Amino acid sequence: MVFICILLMIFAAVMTAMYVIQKRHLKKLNEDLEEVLTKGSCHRILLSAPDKEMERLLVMLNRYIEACQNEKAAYETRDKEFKHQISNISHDLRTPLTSILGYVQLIEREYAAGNEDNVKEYLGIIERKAEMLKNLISQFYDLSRLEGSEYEFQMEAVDLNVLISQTMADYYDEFEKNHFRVDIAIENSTMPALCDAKAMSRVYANLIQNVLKHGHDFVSIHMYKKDQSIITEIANGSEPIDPGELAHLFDRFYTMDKMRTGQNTGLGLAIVKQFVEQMHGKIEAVYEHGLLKMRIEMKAA
Amino acid sequence: MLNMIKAELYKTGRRAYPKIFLLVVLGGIIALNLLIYIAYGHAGEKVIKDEMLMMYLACLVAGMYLAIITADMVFSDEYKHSTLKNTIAFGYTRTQVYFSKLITACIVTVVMAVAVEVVLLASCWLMFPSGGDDGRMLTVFLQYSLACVPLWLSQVAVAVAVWFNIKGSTFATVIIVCFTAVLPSVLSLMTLILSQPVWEEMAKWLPVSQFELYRSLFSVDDIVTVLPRMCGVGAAWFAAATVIGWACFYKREVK
Amino acid sequence: MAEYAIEVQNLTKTYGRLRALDHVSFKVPKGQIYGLVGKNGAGKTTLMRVLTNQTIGETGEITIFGQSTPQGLNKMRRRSGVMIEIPSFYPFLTARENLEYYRRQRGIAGKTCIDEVLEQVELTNTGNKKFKNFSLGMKQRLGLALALMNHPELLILDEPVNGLDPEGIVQFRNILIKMNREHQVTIMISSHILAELQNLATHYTFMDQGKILQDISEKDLAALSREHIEIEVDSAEKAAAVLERILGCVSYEVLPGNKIRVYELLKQPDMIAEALVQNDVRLYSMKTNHMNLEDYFIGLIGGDVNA
Repeated sequence: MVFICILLMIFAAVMTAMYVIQKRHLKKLNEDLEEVLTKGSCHRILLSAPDKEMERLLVMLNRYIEACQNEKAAYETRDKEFKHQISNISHDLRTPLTSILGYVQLIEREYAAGNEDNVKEYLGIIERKAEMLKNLISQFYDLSRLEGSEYEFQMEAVDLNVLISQTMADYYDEFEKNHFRVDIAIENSTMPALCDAKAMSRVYANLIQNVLKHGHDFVSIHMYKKDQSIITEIANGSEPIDPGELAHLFDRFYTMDKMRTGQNTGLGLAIVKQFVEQMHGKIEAVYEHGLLKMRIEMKAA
Repeated sequence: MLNMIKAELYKTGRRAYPKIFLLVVLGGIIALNLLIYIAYGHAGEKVIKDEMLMMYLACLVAGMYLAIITADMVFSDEYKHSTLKNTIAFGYTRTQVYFSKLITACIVTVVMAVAVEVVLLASCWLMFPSGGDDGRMLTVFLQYSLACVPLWLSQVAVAVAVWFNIKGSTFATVIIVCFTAVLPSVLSLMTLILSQPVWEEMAKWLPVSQFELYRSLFSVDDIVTVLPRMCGVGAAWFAAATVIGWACFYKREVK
Repeated sequence: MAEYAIEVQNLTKTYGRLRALDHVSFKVPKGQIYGLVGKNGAGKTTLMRVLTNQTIGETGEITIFGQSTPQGLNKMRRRSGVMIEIPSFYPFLTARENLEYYRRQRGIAGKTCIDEVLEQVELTNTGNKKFKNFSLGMKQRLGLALALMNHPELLILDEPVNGLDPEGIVQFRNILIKMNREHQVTIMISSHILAELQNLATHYTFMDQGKILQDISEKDLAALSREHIEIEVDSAEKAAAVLERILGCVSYEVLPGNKIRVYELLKQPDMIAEALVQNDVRLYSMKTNHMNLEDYFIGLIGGDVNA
């Protein structure tokens, strides 16, 4: 009889203890959550006593808190980046505009002084700079549309052989003028790939322009089929590039010369990357044997 | 605190040391029983359960030494490894650290003791024939064991108190063993030398001395009379060791 | 929430006749990386041990995240990660078991945190190796793993890169920088390898013989330890006069040994040389220098610098 009483008492004591622990857990959890919400601390909420279900709850809760905080941090980074971009854009627009205004003033002075010789030259410069400005603005526009996924791609089977040949033909004069040696190797006569013809054209055009600006005197185009993809490799002779720099080539506003001398918007490659990736392709830059190679991989149609 | 106890139990369970210890002790017990069985069997005599139980009773004092080992499994040389600082730096108070180790050591000691007694009794029951009134002897043995528990735990408390406060773990262990094994003899010696009976009296109140009480009894049934004293002395020493150990540790530097 | 992660007021701790901490007071702002600079025995470790309750100060008060009562401090300590002196773990347990022990003890929910943190410190492949067989570098990494396991808001690290190989030091620094930038973790780190701190800290505190010598922010320090031209002449007074009258130079410092540090005209050392020589001052050597953290510190604890 006594034995049963003792057992019952022990049972009652254990039950009470468990209840009390549970209550304390909840109280502490409430306090901790309040601190996290109001003061935004990053620490994880801890268990105050071993309890399987409580532990599961806390794991979920902590994960959720972490996700919220990460989002907040990501938002703040994006915000800072955005502001940084705006200031970059205004800087980029300001320089050519200032220059244009400078030339306008120059023309006014010359005109007032009755000196019309250089006016034609200055007007030519102004026109060039205005074109560049227009180019820059349209690139900004493109990039922002691409990043906002507003660009509508018409994906169809396009013969990349034809496309690249056309682009090379367009720039033939430029290559001649700059005494470039051109090396084209296309392995198959037709290279159908799944892409948007106009966008792909732009991609090739941008890359070729890049080569013209930075390559020394040699460009090679190599196109071949590999598994289910068509690979285009555009290579030009170049000075050695750090692997770290290679990764940043496609960043916005990245230019190899740190001063943006106005010719280079730094956006060309960023646009190329966006185009390629949104057409479900891949692009990467490698440096080997003194050549900077841009490798674009598009799905075969 | 429950978290800390759970962690200590995890750590103790992960070591090979407790498992080996348990196996050795259990193996030793079975071997001992076997030995007696064979030895007496050869001599043509039959040992009955009652006699075995009496023998076990006399051996329970060994628990005082085994308790030091089980306490060591939990305390595991914290000072030698300087691991206490990790716990203190996290914001646990010295009180929490002290009591979590103490409680875990008590739990481990009791669990080990139960395991040992179960194997002891089981092997005894299997090997030796009944003598008639086993039930009574068994009840007495169990009651006596229960009364030993506070004494064993007091030993744990003393060990924990010393380990927390004395840095060199070997030196500390020596002190603990001396307290158990040597002190009674030393006090008796002092009585002889100084011719003052007070020392002998003091020796009678040490935890280990309580294991001698049953010797002065006439009948096994009278054992019930010494049980309260055993429990009382055990509980008192447990409390005293804990309070002193905790108080000394309270303001200690943790390296 | 308090704007200071740690505040120390008038802290003193004596060991026998040695004053380990002598009325130390300073504040660590939240979200900063705080470098504690001092020679061995300056009191850096003692200070950190008081902050983590391993040692109890005699006078003075400490406040962590606005709490100064013992219970409040302990509550805040659960939000901090600590690594003081050599990391200590149970030699008979593996890395994972050691961390699991502390995970249970601290009540951290979920076992994934162990793998996450081991990955962060690059200690994932120790398998069944017991701690007693770890190299010093591995021990340091495990210590760091323990400090990071509960996603702390405050890190207190005492000479944490001791024993790490150069790659490990870089990884370690990157982890700290990441935690500070992404999660605004406040870090208090002590070292006597000043070059290491120089790449990391946003604030410095210099300690010597248990006293705080100076508190200074990285920006101010950079301004102070700026580039200069150091010249060695035959007569500092004559040279000083030339600098002022002929060159109109006002920003310079005279050092012992007839040396002068000039903070102006950095791009025209030839002008300085010419002026000096023309005015009969012998120029023995001239070099452009950038004073670094070490020089600054030695200047603080060493002799006076005439400005």
